[in-house]
Amino acid sequence: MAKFSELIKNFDKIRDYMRDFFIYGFKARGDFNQKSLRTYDNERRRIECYLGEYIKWDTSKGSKRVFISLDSSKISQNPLYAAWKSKSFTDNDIMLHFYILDILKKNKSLSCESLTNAISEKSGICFEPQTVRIKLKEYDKEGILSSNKIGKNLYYSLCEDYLQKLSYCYENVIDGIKFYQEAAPFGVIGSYILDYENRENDIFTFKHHFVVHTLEDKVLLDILNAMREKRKIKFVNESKRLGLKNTIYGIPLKIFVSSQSGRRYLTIYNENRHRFINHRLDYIKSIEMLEACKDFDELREKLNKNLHKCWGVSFGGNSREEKFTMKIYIDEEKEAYILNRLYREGRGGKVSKIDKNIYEYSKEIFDANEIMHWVKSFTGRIISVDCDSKHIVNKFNNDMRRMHRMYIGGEE
Amino acid sequence: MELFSEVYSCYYNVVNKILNESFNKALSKKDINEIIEENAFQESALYILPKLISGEWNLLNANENTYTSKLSSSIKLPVTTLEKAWLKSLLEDKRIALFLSENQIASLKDYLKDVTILFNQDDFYYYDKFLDGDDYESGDYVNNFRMIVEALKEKKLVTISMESGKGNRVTGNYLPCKLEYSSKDDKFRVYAARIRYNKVVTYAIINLGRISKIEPCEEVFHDEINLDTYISNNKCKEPVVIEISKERNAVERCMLHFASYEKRTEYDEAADKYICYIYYDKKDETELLIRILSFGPVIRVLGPVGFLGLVKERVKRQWELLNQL
Repeated sequence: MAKFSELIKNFDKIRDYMRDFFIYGFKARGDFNQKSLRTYDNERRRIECYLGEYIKWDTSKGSKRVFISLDSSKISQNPLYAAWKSKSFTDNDIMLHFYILDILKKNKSLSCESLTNAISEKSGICFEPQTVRIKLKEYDKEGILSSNKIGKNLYYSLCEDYLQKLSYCYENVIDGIKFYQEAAPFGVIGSYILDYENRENDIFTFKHHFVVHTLEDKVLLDILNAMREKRKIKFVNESKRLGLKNTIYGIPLKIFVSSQSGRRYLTIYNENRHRFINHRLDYIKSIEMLEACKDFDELREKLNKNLHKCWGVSFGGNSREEKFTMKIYIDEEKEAYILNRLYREGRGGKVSKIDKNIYEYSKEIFDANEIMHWVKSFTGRIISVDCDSKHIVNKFNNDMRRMHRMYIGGEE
Repeated sequence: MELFSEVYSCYYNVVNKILNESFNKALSKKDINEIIEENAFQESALYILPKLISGEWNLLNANENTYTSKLSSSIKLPVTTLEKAWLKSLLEDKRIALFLSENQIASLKDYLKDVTILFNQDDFYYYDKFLDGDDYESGDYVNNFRMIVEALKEKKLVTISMESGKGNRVTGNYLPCKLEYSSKDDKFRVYAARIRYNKVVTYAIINLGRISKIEPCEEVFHDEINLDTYISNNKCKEPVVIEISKERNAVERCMLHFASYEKRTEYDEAADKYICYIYYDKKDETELLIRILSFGPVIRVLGPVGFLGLVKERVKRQWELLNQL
């Protein structure tokens, strides 16, 4: 039987388990039927190793359910970053890492052969020059080393780009990293820097923070690379809920992020359907870069021009544009904060006073269905809603009837 | 540029620490074990310690019961291309002005001029971020932010003048304890203890954008502040219990929507519904209430009684408004 290891070779495997434990948390061992029970046990044990204090158990419904429970506003660093810091390696990898850094710190520049000899002398272990060469090439690519060709030989030097070089603003940069390691995309990179600087975030905490986003960062990086190179992509889109797995082709243009619902989407232009479509980032499994797209800038411009009509992530159905209006009651003397909500949260919609204590909010949007979530947050003060799509109005009225039956007038 | 690389792994990092410590002084097994336990995962010591001690990772010299580094100096990983690309992206973010001056930003941009940027601000569209976020371009705001950060790091009191939520002008001596950022509100808030005559009078959560002036304070406060007690006192006594139906993909939407809260969820097989227990701060009760209401009838609040009362009150008022027509 293979020995258990905390480390993993492939990030995608732990991504799904971590997501299930964190987002859902109601699944028991038997519900994880995509892989063997032993795989489940190993992944569960790994996640327990990484997240210790945040792992909780519940056996109240018979079977044991493991879940990750944390209040994101109380943490100074995303605990899920641990998964990114768990890449497996060989004995040679770790020894070469430290000997290469050590020897090149003392010697300005060495060829692979000289370095191999120096490592053998220092460690007493004979490494194959080919093994060392592969590692040197890898570190050259990662920017840890730089290479310079003299004659037929490549000479390697240590890149001495240390953060302390910026000593005149080192502390300011560190403070910035403490913030952005949670607030910026790919925050885990900031946490890598802090790890090696032996620094921790002791200043900031983060509210309305979706720590689970980090699990999509590998996919996100591939998408952004394609966007930077203005390339088309092909990807696998897997919805576990619908049990669907599709291969999709498109031109990646933007990442839509919700600071409220915790969802992130990739916007592509679908050439066959001649339209923009959003795909959930957490459903995307793998990205393949295809040929360059000559219309990239034009399409992005077109998308940008359409953004003000998106309430959320939908570009509408057949109607393409709908006018939505809502009238609400606001006690002007005591409830100025509700009026502020309309401006602050209304995404540029028009707010007008139509009578004492009565205000109207209106906006033209692609898909009025998306605005209803926000509209219902005003439950208790909505006088009326109106929309080109009458089924939206009917659905709202029906929802309010159901809510009344549910809470006031007996069982739903 | 690899995002998932052993170079950034917890094991490399902890071995780096052990090598640097043992370069300066010989370490015992116990010392090494302590470094691993402090810096790595729960079971890491079971793996790393034998590898180092046995010489399978031939990085330490053994002298009787102590160990020293075989390396000639202490080791530090340079900033990699991936990290530089990330740093370059940050320089395009408007909030960077909170940390760096214009000259510092220009100088860093020059330093990173040959690096390919990791992402552009325009690659992302935050479609539901509130529109009244803090003004990071205001000189006064930036100065206030920096004074708060400095006071927080040096544990020094500052005199803060601000406008309260009710529009009153308040001035007092405060010890900043933490700075909270909300991506939804795009605002910073300072958790601070108000100090008078060397005693904590109260704790306050101050919107940085509402601060009109911050000045250094003569008063000195020597005691330790226990912000955790204040925060835990603010926590709800009982969680809000909600029942989530399966329609409209409510389970997934709801689980993700409330993912930033401490919560617990179970499946009620008999009702074929999910029961979720959400723990929240009392000061955020209204926010949680409207977030729950926004799901409409696919979420049903089961308790506690007080919270359920708030829901019922709003639903009743809503019914009356719609039926006035």
